Amino acid sequence: MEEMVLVKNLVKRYDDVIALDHFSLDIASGEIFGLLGPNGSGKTTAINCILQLLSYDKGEIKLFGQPMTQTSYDIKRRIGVVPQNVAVFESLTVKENIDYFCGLYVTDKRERKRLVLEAMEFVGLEDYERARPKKLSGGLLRRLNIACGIAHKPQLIFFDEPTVAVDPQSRASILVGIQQMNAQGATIVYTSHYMEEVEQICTRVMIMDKGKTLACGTSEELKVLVHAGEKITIEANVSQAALMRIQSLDHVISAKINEGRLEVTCENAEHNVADVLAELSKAKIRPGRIWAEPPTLQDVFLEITGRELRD
Amino acid sequence: MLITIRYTLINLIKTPGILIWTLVFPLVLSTVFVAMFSSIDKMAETQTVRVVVVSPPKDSSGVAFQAFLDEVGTSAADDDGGRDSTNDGGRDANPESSLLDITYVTTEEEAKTLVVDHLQDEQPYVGYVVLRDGLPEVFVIGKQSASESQSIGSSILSLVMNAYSERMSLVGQLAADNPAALENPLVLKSLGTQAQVTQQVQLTLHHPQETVRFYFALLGMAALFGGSVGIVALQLLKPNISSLGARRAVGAMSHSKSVAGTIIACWIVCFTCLCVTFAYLRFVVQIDFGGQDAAALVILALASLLATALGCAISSIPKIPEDGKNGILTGVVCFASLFAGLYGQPTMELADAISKQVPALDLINPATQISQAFYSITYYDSYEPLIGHLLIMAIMTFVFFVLSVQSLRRQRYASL
Repeated sequence: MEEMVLVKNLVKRYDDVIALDHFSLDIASGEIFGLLGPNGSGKTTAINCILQLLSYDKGEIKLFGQPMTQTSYDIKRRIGVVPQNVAVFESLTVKENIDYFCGLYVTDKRERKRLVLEAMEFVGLEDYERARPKKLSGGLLRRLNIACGIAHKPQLIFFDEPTVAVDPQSRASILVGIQQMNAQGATIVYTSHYMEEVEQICTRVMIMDKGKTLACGTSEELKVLVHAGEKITIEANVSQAALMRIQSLDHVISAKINEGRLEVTCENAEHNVADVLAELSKAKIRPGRIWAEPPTLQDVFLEITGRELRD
Repeated sequence: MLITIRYTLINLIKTPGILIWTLVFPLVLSTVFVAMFSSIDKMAETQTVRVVVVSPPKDSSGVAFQAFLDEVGTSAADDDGGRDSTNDGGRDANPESSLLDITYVTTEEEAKTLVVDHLQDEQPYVGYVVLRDGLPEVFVIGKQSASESQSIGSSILSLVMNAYSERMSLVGQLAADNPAALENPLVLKSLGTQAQVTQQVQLTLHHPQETVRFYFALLGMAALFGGSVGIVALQLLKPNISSLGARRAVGAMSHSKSVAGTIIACWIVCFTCLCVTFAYLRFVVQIDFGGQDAAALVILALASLLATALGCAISSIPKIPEDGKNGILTGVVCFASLFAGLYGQPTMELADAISKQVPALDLINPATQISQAFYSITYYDSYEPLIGHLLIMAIMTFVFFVLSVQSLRRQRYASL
């Protein structure tokens, strides 16, 4: 499979602060690659270095197998960028904005006209083609931001937190759209703070912090890495003696009673639910409803990057 | 590149504030100038001086004086096409070219009363004249009662009557020294007419008008305010200043084409606004540009490019927000306009003094160069001065672009 993005040992310093510390990345064609990290972890810096907006101290960047430079216009022609902040002309209409950004890549007027109409249809802005950005809602504005980045049908698209401040309907629509673009052959690099989004659409995820890669793999591969496994919740009146016995079970990390519910956190093991129910049975406690949740990407993220607040 | 030009143009035209400084402000200021200068222009026009004359006696000195009055003035009776035959010198009286508008009365008392009674008129009598001992005596209204234009009228009346007295003195001298000469009809004729001892030669294409220079300075200021167009447009092109700039920088259009397209769009906006201001001055305010419209357009075109380059240079100053850069531009334009003499007669005199004492300062003042370029096409019959000013403006444009080239070329930054 063709290597779309290859970054090797990228180092970027802001005076004494190391924003990227020998950061490496490789993304194959057809992937939806999730880049996760807390604020200031270096995600946007990495993307800006890859796009040659930021200078860097050391490292190698290749896109489509070729070195990426400021003047690599042939490579840039195959890239689409949807920035974190909505970046459009305030005075131009929806259609004019998409036409302008498409025009940075496509010179043929007739071809561009078709692409602009397709992009408007893709993000659902056909009814707003004459509207100015300031008249659009937050969700529509985000969709315009996306349309401007993808109208020219790029092969590699960078989405930098495209669903920030967007309502659930628009978010769902955006995620479906990204999956459609991927299905049509585009490779996606996706950064977000929303773990469930990344888990939902990304084929591979990288977790980074302080400019370094902490973990990389599929969601399932990452979940295996973490200590915490299932979370079991049981509606039951549990005595203190029974609770102590459950806490002493193998694979149980913690157990507590919260608002009439027994909450048990277990390590990854095969018979956690059965073991807990057996202890309740021994204590002649009849359980009500039972929930068992596997670990989420958020659990993985918090365990890897820590729970302390970031600036 | 065409798409950059097209959408930069649309964006600039629709951006609030751009047209206010580059178009609305110059038009409003032009209109204010029209209102301000109309009274000055009126004063500068040749006005007939209204005067009361006690009808001279029918003796020889009276007839001579009457002939003189017919030469320099006209009366209500002239306008009506007839008066008493003694006052009809047979000349073609033209009220517009006459120095004096004479009202004849029979007594001095009547003259005094007429002057006093008409003091509050729109154009009152500046005084009255009575012939005593063959020489005119002039009585004018006091300085405290006189307006500025009346004071000028009093001076004109005194000068005219002094000329007559001097001529009569010459006749007396001639009669004493060479009585035979007075029998020569040519000598008599020359004494009856005003001497033309100087020849008027026009050095400039058009009569210089004092107030026109202010409009030229206004065009200089209006052009330089076009720099704000460059500042706004280039802010949207730089990745380190706007997220829009960053997005444009990752596009597949070459950076040089983006910059060139943006500069061309800025120039078009600036030039169009200046052309509208010029058309307003030329056809509505009816400022005389010496009929050199084509040359004026060349000046406007280069002035627009100069303003765009100035905007680029200011835009390239690092670590200053857009408002700060616009503040710098406003300061530069106002300061340059001061030394171009925009803010009234004292600043025009200051500008003239600087031109004489420190001409090098004119060379580095773009507002002065633009203003003087218009002056040169209006008043000089040679294009040499114009070419000089255009050359200086071209050099300034080049210098401003050189100052901004480092910033314009940059695509990658240490931080965003």
